[in-house]
Formats: sequence, C-alpha cells, structure tokens
Amino acid sequence: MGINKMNNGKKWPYHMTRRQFLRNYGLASGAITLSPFFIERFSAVCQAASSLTRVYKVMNAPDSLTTCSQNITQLWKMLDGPAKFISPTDVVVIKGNAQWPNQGYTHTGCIKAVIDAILAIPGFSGEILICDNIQGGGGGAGTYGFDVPVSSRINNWPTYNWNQLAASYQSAGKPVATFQWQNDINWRTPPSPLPGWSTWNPANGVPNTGTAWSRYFLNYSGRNTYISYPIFPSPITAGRLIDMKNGVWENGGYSGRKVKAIFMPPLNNHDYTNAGVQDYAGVTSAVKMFYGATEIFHGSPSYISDGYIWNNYYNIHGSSFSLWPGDTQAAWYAGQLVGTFINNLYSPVLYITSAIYSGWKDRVDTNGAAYTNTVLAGTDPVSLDYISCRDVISKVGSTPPTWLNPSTQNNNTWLQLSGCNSQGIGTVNPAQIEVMTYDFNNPTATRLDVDRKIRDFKAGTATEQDVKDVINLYMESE
Amino acid sequence: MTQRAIALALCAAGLSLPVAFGFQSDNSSLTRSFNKTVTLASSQIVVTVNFTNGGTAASRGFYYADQVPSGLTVSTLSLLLNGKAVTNYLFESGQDGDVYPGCTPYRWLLEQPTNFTQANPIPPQAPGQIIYAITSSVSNIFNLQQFSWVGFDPTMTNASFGYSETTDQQSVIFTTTAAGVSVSGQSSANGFMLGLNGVPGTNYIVEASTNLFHWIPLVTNASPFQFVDTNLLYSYTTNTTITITTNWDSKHREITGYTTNKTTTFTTNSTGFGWRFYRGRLF
Repeated sequence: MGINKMNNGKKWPYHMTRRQFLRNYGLASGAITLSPFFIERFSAVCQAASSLTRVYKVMNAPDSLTTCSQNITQLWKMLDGPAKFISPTDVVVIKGNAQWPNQGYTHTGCIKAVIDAILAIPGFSGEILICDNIQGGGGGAGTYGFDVPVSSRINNWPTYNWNQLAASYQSAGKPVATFQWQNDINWRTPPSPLPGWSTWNPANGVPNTGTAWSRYFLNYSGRNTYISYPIFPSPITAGRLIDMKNGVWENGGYSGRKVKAIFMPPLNNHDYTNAGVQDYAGVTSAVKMFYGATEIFHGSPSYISDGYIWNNYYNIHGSSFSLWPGDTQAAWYAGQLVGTFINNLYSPVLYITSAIYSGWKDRVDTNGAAYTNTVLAGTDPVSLDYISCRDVISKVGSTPPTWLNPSTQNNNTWLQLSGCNSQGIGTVNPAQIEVMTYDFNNPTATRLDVDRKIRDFKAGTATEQDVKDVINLYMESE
Repeated sequence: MTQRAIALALCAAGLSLPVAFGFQSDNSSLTRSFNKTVTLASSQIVVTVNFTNGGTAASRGFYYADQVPSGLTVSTLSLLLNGKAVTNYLFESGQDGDVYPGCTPYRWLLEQPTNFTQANPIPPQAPGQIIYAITSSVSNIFNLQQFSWVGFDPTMTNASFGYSETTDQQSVIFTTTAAGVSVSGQSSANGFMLGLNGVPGTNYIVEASTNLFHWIPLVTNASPFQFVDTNLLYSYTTNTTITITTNWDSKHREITGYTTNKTTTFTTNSTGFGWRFYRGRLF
C-alpha cells in the first residue's frame, strides 16, 4: 500500500495510508480465529460454529496511558454496541474488584469508557452503579477502588478513583453512582430441606448495614453452605431498591425495570503470599470476582477467618479456598460454587476484563505488574478467563507465571475454571472458543465487520465508502 | 407484466422467480430464487444464487452471505464457477444475532484473503452459482430477508458489494401436514366447536354455508385456535353426526402453495350446511 494511494477517487486525508487512517480513526474490525470448527468445506451442515463461545480481545490502543477509551470503544464495536446488552431503561450494575489498590482494583479508565458507551445509548434513562463487596478485607478505608488516593493508583488510571469518577458524572447531571455492598450480619434460619432460599422481601427495606441479601442455602460436598445476592437502595433514585435477581423495586412492587450486571474484573495473580507464586486460587479475574458479589461473613463482632462457619453454614470462601492446602481440589470447589451462583442467583449479561496492567506477581506489588494494554470480553467468565490467562497474563513478567496458563491442566487456575465449567458455564476446551482479536498495532477486519457495515449502510448510519473501507481492510488483513 | 407481478404469480404457485439484488456498487448482478416456498417440515427448499461479475477486473475474495432465520438448517448442494464445479470453497456460519436479531449469518467464500490461495477468481462477465438447501424440523414461517455479496480487485484496491432490499425478502413455510392444516370438529352445548391447527401464527378464516355454495365469513384467527359456531340458523342438534369431508371448493381462495392446494370443509351428513377454512392472506 503506497502513501497517498487513490481509492475509487477517494484520497485518504492528511496524506495517510489507509491503514494509518483506519488505525487513527478506530474503524471497527477484528481478526478472527478461523478454527476448524468455524470453517467447514463442502456441504457440511453449519452447526458447529454456532456452538462456539466467543471471546473478544482488543490490545495496544495508543491512548491507554491517558484517556484510556480506545480499547473499550473498539471492544464495544466488536460486541456490536452496548445496546445489544443494555436497554435504555435498565439499571446497570458494574461490578468491579475494589478490594486492593494499584493493579488490584478494576481499571477506572476502563470503567469510565464502559459507562460512556452506555450513557450514549439513545434515550438512556436508567442508572449506572459501580458496586462491589470488599468483605471488610483489604487494607482498610483509603485503599479500595472506591476511595484509593493517587499514591495507590499505580498501574491503574491515575485521574480518578471510583467515587471521584461517579462524582464527575453526577456533576454533569449523569445518573452514575457507586455503592459499596455490605454484609448483613444478621443470621436467618435456612429452609428445610436444602437447597432452598431465604429471600429478602424488599417491602421490608434494607437492614442498618444498608444492604439486604437473599440467601441460597445448599449442601455442597457435605458442607452446608450459603451464597447470596444483594438488594440495595439506589443512590440516585430515592425509594428505589435494586434487586440483582428480580429487578427494580419501587412504589411497593417490582416495576418491571430490569437490572443488568456487567462484571469487570482486573487480571492478576491472586498470590496472597506476595512471593509471586501460585496460591490456592491461581488467577483472580472473572470467575474469582464472584466472591465480591456475595457475602463472606468472617465472624462477629470482629474478624475471625475467611473460612468462618456461621451457625454451621460455610460461606463461599470457607466451602472452597479455605480448605486448601489440605484439599488440593479447593480451587475446583471455588469454581463450582461460582457456577452454582450463576445458575441459581443471577447471571451477568457481559464480562469485561480490564488488563491494561496485569499483576503477574500479585495484586498490589507495583513492580509485579506488566503493561499489557489489553481488554477482553465475553458472555461467560470461564472462556474469558481461559483466554485472558493463556494469552495475556501467563506470558508477561520477569518470571512469567506459567502456572496461570490453563492450557496446563491441574494447576489451580485450570481447577478454578474447570470447576465452574462443570456447572455448564463456558468451556475450558480452547477448540470451542472463538477468539476475535483487534490489535491497534495491526488493524484488521473480519467478514462479520463487513456484514455489519453493510447493515449500517442499509440503515443509513454508514456510507458506501465506509463499507468499501472495511472490505478493503478485510481483504488486506494480515 | 412487471417482474414483481410475475414473481407474485409464481409465488402463488409455490415458486419464486430469481430476485435481483436491490443494490450493487458496480455493474455486477446477483439473483436469489427458491424452488418452492412451502414444504413439509424436514423436507428441503432449494435456494439458488446466481452471480455475474459486472466489473472490469476479476473479482477476488468473493463471498456471499445470507442472514438465515434461526431454526433453519443450511447445507450446500453445489457451487459452480463459470460452469465448473468448485470444491475448495469455504462455508461458514456465525452466531445467532451476529448481524441481525434472530438470524445466523451463513457465508460461502470462493477465496480467503489475503493470499486468495483457493484460486477461484471470478473473471469479468463470468457467472458463479451457489445452490443450497434449507430445512426445518418444525412447522413455521421463516422470512429470509438480508443477503449480500462482497468482492475485491486487489490491483486497484477496489472493493465492490451488493445487498438485498426489502422487496427481495422471501417467506418460506414449513408445515407438518400435507395440507398445511389439520382441522377437527365436534358438537358442543351451545353450537359446534371447530378446531384448527395450521402454520403457527398464520391467520385462517372460517366460513360457513347453509348450501355449500354461498359462504359467509365468521371469524379470522391465528392458528392454532378453536371456535364455536353458535348460529342457530344452521339448526343442527347436538346429536347431529358430523362428517368431515374434503369437499374442496376451487372457486374460493385456496391454501396457497400447499401440496393439495385445497380448502378444508366440514359438512353435516343431512342438512347440507358446513364450515370451511382458508388461509387469510393472498400471496
């Protein structure tokens, strides 16, 4: 491709090559993994491709150290826009990881880019709430994603913490807020027999802690266990309760307004020993982050343990990870319980992994993270984590954490993902995962991009030249 | 007679004329036709796509995409380029809703970029043909709306494409019975109850007659439904024996496109009155 080459009489602006033009203007495209399952020859019936789960990966946006929007913007394009997942009236809960500073909490710039896209949905009249339950852990006030100071935003977006981000939107009149879920330390009698629910009636408001929880009790591998989801007041609309499973409650009943969850994990080696090794969890990302979506009661009145047994019932941590190292399958149990959560409590509509930095050593060591400049998305956490671990975090660092690569079976990352997969969530078989990649350093386009651009042209939202630009890029994609 | 009128006429007979694309960026042409528009579930409807490269250069990287409604199964029957069979094409499907809600994209690729190693260029003015079958295991109506093609001239970095317009869409029907409907009837306390089970969601009209010659419409409803005719003018009793006949009436609108091409009528065995059904829509 020569510089200033004419194309159908159209000259690329500013003496750019078309590729430069497309890169700079962020034209939608992506590279598709053409696995044998995706393309078939002859008259084979095309059933297999539809059974693939898809993971989207965008990398190397040039603005990730500043405005940090291009990666996510491109990701939304590949996902065909936020309106495919979010309706204009929805209450959107962005569940991040807030417990640890630096690379340990979800990248604020990525959260902002996600919020910007949702707010741009025509006629959006819902709310966007940034939430997490830090379980009373971490380093205490001033160290969480919600309130972390500039000094602890290393390997993250330095401009704002989450509370500041929400405040900036509110000052502009936008319906964005944070809400920190809190455990309810009031015990409620489990149903009999198990499994069963102790649901919270929103008509009763919420407890003094500010968050109510509907609890699901089950006997898991011989251990009585509970998992729960929150019901909490909207910080934006007075009198409105947000029920993560059943939708919005207001004026004495469920209004029909939906609550949609987008889970946004960071990508880190869990390692609580700070030694840069594999601990009981392996990776902490999309599957592991469900531990902040439920209650992990540590004992009362003060902290006893992550594995505290409450009236003979284990929390999700106690019923899995706390069994390690005595039980080497602890990570499997953890994943399996997350799968149980998804199948019985609620399922997020989308997962977006912010791997602008990846803590290959652990979640907080500022020298133990790499600038990976990648974001990924999928509709299930298992396939997403599989690709994040295989393609991103296991390949970086002074000592690449190969134990985070689930391609090697029986490491704790693989166990965690496989346990969740055992409940029918996603896949740990890479042949069943279709990875769609866009690299700003090597822009490409797919047939899907072409077909969508033709659709947009028909709808009047793209020009004939836009279509030709995508076709040309597709035809010349390397 | 216009092409559209011809197409409509043939549709009524269960065929569809090749329909030219609504838009193409160069002088190429593409048509899509169906060998029939109504068939039994699990039977095939054959779709034929004919493309002619109207450009001045060979079209490279050509692919045709059809956004097929979910629930239909697609399989390729043949692919010809310039009259010769092509075997090294690529056939792929995407995911439901990838481009349009409720549809799955299916694509036939003659060549894959960037190297076009399949070596299947379409020379100028040369034709290509794709024949594929669609099937459904259940009774339903499917509307095939969106399809498109893409080509490329690498020497000039010149893209070309075409796509369907609204008038290019084609509905096809898969039914579970030869006549498209099954009907039943029984006397009830306040009249005579008729039941119809046809193509789901399709409107059917029930007509009644006291002489099997003049017919009066009673109700229009979407299948499946039940209807009780309470009109005492028919003066039957609850003990009347109802004989279900196939007393077809060719003077009236028929169940267009079905194998039997007939209307179903109920009559009694004594008084000469009855009911009949037909689809409430002309093609």
